[in-house]
Amino acid sequence: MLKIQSLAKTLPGPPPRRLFEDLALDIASGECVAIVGESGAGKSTLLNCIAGLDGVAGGSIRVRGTEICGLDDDALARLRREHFGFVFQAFHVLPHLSLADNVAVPLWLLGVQDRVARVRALDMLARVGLAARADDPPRLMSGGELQRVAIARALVHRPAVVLADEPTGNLDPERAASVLDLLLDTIRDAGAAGVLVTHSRAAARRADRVLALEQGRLVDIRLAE
Amino acid sequence: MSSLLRKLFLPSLLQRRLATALSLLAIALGVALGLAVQLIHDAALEEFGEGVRRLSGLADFQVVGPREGFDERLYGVLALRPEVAEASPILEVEARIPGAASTLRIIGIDLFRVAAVQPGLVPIAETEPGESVDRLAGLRERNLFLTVDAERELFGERTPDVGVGHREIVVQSGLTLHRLRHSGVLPATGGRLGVMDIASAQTLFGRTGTLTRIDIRIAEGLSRQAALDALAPLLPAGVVLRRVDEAAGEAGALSRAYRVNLTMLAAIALLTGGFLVFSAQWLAVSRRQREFALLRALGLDRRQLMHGLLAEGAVIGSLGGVAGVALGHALAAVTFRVAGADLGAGFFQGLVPTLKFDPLLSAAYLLLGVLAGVAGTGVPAREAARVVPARALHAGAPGAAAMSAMHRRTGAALAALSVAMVACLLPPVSDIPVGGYVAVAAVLGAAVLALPALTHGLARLLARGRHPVWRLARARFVAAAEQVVVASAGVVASVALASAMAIMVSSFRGSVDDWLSQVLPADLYLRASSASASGFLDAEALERIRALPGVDSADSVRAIQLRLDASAPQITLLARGISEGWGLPLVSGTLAPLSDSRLPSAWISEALADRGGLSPGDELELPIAGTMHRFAVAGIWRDYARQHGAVVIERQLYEAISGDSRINDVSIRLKPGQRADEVVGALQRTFGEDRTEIARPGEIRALTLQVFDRTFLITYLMEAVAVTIGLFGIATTFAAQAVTRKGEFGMLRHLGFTRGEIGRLLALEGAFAAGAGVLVGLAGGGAISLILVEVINRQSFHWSMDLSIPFGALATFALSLVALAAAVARLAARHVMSESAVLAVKEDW
Repeated sequence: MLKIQSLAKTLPGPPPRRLFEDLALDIASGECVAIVGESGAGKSTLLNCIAGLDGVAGGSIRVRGTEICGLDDDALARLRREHFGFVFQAFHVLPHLSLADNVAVPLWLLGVQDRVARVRALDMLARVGLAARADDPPRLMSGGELQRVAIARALVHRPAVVLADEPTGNLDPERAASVLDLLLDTIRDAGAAGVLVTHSRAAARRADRVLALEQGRLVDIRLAE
Repeated sequence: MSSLLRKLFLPSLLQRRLATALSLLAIALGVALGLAVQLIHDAALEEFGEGVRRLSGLADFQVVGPREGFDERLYGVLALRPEVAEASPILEVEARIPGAASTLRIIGIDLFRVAAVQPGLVPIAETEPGESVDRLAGLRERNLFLTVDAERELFGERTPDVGVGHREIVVQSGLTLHRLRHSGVLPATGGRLGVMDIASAQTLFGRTGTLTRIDIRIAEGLSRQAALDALAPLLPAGVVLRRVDEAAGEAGALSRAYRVNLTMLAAIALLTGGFLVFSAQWLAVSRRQREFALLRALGLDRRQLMHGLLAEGAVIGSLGGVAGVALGHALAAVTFRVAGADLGAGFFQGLVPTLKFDPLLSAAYLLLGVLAGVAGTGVPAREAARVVPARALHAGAPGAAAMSAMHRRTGAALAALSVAMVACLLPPVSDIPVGGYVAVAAVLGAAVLALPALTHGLARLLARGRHPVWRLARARFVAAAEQVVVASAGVVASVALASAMAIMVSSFRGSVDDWLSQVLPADLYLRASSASASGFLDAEALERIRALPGVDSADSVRAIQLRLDASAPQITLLARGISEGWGLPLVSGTLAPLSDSRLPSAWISEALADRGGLSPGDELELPIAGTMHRFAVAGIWRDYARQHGAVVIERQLYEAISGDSRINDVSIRLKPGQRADEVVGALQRTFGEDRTEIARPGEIRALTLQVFDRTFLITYLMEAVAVTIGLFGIATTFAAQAVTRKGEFGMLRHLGFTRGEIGRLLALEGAFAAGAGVLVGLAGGGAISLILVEVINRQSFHWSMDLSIPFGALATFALSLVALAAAVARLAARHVMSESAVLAVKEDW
């Protein structure tokens, strides 16, 4: 579903710093991978490179077989709306839209009919346990609920890849665990490839594989219980 | 508080430089416009008054009557009175100079009296080299003494080879030309005028036995009131005694309504500036809620918070005020240099005063700037002080409280509308439509207060649409009515002002156009000079016109000025045929003389009807030829030419009463198929090309409309400033909102929005916000235009007009403004759109 080969990226200086070198990653459909590493190792930058939001110095990134390196800005935007879902640490839910409309935004971008978009958004909200609050405004929601809305929005258009950057960073541990389980289960159910960037070992352990970003490469690791 | 202010509040102004700069600029422009208008008019009035005082010299009183003058025997009566120490008779004539664009004011003086009362008018004879001084030069016929200004205008700078005595000036009296000898100077007087012996002037201009003024110095020790009480009863009807100061202030009274109107326009520009401060401060307060909550948690009390924010507004207002005062003086100086002291209405044409710094006036306008800044900050400061710190620290999002205020505001808007309606019914105060201005302010207030509720209603009417950009923009518009208010409050005020003025000007122009069609029904118009100048025609000239081949008929008009009382401006008496020849655009009554009245009929203009509270059938007294004559009002007519009132009576009746058979204007109808050019040629051959002015109706119409457009040019400029300030409001709001919405834009870019789509989203939001402001502004403008047409114009100038809405122009204006706002919104947020989407989502929002 997501295949990265020989990825190279250099951060501009002075002095320039080589962030990735010959980085490779292959994630199958329904698989969730956690990426851990020290601060500044380039975890978030890797996500941005995968999403086409940050440029690379070399290598290849393929999503459902489509090469994204070398695409222009508009083509990357179209690629993101079709193949990617995002979950952010700070939720980023639009305050002036209802929960259902927030979830439906990616479908609007894809030109899905209103009625169909609404049905699918309600279905996703039901899967994250918020169906009853579909027409409420975000300001009435707690942080955990807002992150569930974000998860629903990330998956509503059945993306190939879901990128989550510290998705539980703003939640308390108990709520974080349940939100994370929901995110990973939903990604697996949808048959997407999930990439989870996190500092939290507890969060990383819930993924199918854990990779450490060390010296510009991804290394398989096993986290102790 | 001072260290708090320095460290916590004022740095915020520097952080949001664009908003601060635009707020400051808006206040500066409002202050500058108001101050410039006031400076220009004050200087013009002072110059005018100074001119009157200079010419009146040591006089305490002036005896004045109709422009055509009064019987000179009154001088003998007054000069012998014990209350009068010195009296100086004057005959003032605006002499037509053939071929020149303007007239020369010639003052006929009594050389033996003038030194005691008006020493500035004492002429000094000049001689050629080798000639002896002519001590009687001032008494000789056809000797004219000019001021330096007049000499320069008529002859240019002096050259050593041409002596003054070799220079002649040709002036016209009636249809006759006379040569006057330039004999000397008036060293103590400025302005464009000349002096000659009064008896010569009377003979030359056919005014034998007539004076236009007597300047009087009262006996020492006598109070002015006692002199007034003793002398006033001696005056014939239509002749009044007034203090020199009253005369000097006459221009102020004549131009007051126009000046107040311009000042009100400037006030609206300043008000729009106040709204801009409101927008900028509201947004800043919203963004800083957490900061304020933290400070409150640390011990800052509500009062300190509010005072700190108000101080921010005061600083913006002070800086804007100082800049405005400087800009106002610069504007006035440039105006004096480019156009003199006249702002378009013609009251002060030809005056070129000197700009003076008035510390009190400047301080007052500076204070207005501070008030605009503080008033604009008032509501945001109060709202900021109300917020519960714990809630703000937790959520940081306002909204619910603001929306709950919507209903209260709608109630306040309705209350403001009620105030407007009541204010419209109030009578004017000293000819100033105070109620009308209060109503305009109330309607503006109502429009801004109703904006949230109306925006909410408008948003519901917008189709949901399918495009995500449209849907997101619409959703924000529906949900964030409060932010629309913040963005477009200035737009509402400026659009209301501009559309109201556009409707009023369109109505006025259309009505003037119709009026011209009615008052100019003939094929040609002929006059020897304007009615105020020395050219005129007589019965013989009229017969010569009628006898010309191609002329079907010719009708004559005599126009004289009458003075009804000492304090009021002069009115115009038009003696002419009523039912034929010239048109009379009646608004009530009938063209036929009243058959059921024993009194002769008069047809009065709306200004005179308003001033005297007169209706058809009422009686009217007019001072003609020194005695009062009673008339019955047969009709009221619309007159845009004479602001202070006019009355029409039958020409034959006027001649019988006054013995005056002079003619000022002749309207000529041509025989069918007759070419106007041929008749014009015949007229010029008959009277001499330079001695008459001949115009076709189209030329008069074009000239009148050109003057009309020039009169409103300054108002267009002021409207443009107000609309620009309104657009600043959109720019400020969107620039500030863009910063707070960085995260949102970053997220949308992650979801697949392109930069272009986010730009379009912002443009659409700007268009929606401006659209709401424009629609509400247009509604408010419609209401204000009614107030302008029915109350303010009526009470200020006594002009009625037919309402005419320029739909095409308004639609173009509205659409252009919405398009501009969209562009401005996109431009203002450009720096945020260009930022990395990656970084944007990292920040908490």
